Amino acid sequence: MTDRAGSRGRVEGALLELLAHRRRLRDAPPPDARFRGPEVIRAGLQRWMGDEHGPHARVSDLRRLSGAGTNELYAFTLHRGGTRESLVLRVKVPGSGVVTHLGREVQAMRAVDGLIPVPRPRWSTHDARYLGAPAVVTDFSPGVQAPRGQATRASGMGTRYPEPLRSKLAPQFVTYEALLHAFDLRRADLDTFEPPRAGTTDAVDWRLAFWDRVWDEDRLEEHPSMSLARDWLWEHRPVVDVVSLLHGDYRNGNFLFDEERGVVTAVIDWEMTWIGDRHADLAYTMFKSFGHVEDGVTLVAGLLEAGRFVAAYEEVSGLPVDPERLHYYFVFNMYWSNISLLATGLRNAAAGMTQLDVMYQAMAGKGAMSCAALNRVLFGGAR
Amino acid sequence: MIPSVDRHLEAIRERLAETIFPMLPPEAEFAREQAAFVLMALDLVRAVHPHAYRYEVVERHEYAAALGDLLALGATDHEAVAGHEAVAGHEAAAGHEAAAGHEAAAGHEAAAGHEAAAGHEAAAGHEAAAAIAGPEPRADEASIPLAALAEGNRALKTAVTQLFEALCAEGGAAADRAREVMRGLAVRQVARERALFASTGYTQSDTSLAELLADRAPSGG
Repeated sequence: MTDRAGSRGRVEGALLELLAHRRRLRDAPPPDARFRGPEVIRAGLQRWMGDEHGPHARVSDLRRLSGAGTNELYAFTLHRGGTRESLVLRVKVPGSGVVTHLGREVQAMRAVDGLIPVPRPRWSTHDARYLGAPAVVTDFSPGVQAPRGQATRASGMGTRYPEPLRSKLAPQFVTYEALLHAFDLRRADLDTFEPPRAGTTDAVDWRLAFWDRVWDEDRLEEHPSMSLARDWLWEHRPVVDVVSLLHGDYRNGNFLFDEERGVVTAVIDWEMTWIGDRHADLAYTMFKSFGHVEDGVTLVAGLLEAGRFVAAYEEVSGLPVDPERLHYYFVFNMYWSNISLLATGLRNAAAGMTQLDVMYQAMAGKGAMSCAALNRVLFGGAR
Repeated sequence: MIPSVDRHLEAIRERLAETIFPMLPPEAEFAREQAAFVLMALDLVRAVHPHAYRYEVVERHEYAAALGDLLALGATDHEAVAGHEAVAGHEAAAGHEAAAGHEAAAGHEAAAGHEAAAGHEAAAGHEAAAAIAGPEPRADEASIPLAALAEGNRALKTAVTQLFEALCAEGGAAADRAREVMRGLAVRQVARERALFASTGYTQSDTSLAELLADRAPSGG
């Protein structure tokens, strides 16, 4: 492993700690790193809720929810003081394909609760004695990830919305992204994030340095497309005019909705949140692979045409969209998502840290596709 | 090798698909999802394992050639020494040309030929002639263990990347030329990977892995 990242930009303290923790886990994987059975989860959750609310608190109806990315999800009922609540437990997966920070996830959701519909965080713990990993309990948000009858896709990627549902969801989808980016960071407790300065390249420097370090720690071997992308990204860093709270994974499939009413009930999956340039989120949302083509028009996130998306976003947020920076962050997003596909997932599979090892290894094929896209964007490389 | 590796894999796949996976209960969503990935992975392995060795041989020559190109671009002495050491280390581990030779129709001594010569049936003679005319490995071909070859390639890739970064940091014409070298590598690397993973459906390739690997001249890099 080389330490090239450190020479170019600093990595935020909370993320350095996270990476150090990850290295310790890999050096000595806990016996249940790959699999914690439902009884282990049930017992750990019961202990945690008991410590949190007293010996009479009781957990029931625990069931695993679909989705197994950076968090394992469970629905359960909490009984305490004569009341019962439907809640969701999210437990960090030690060998996940992406490095994420629970404290940031919780702070970001708390910050925007009330502005944007989110699963409200109730309690969180970094104490691994309970569930073997950091965990958070949130309110249960009703709604579905995809229209009924549509084949389930990994993490809801590529979800499509038929009319009239599409017309109802599209304005809400844009509005919540715009409100998030226009949110005044000074109004919230975000002390797990270090505040980058507007009018500088701090935010992108730090984020690039972080992803470089993840690549250096996780890659099984170097890749020329990734080397070219890294070189290009450092050479072309744009100044961040306005510093925004970013979701990091804002796309179709990452919001729940009431299918009958066409109402977004929750924006979910905040694990990738960071503070930086809004164009990073926008370029990600606008990835063609998340949308689909209809009548010759590509629909952003399967919801609306790009021009309408940008116009609506600018109107609600009051923030301009710069095509040059969008282009930069297209490359940036391909770079970090390739790190997940070609490095972190494969490293954790090789280290015996995950039950998704077969999937991660097969999904390196997505990395190949994405590297082909990187080549095309960076130098028109042959398909 | 009887049964062949491919036959083993085929049988494993069939038993999993026909006998074992259908017994998973419908509510075992995670297990059923992973079962589908297991079948996908077995199909991938069956498609690529015949080419695994050749894949590494091609990479070895490509990256060794690229390293030479980058070294010629005026890297500092320190970088050059590091690069030379990487190449030397790689060659020590992987041998020289044993794996790379793939000269078609050059041999005359194959066991198949002896068997054919002993035959009297016209059909058998015809088959023997065809066998002799086909590509024949040298006696020492593929004597380097596949894992050692792959490990050497990883070291080569690291050396190439470090030199590339050093040249880019210096800037100027050498940096531009280094980027050109890297672009050529990137195009060929991605073409191989797309062919490698084509069976998964996550990516597509107009060219089969076998065709791509056959296109790479052993000495050309």
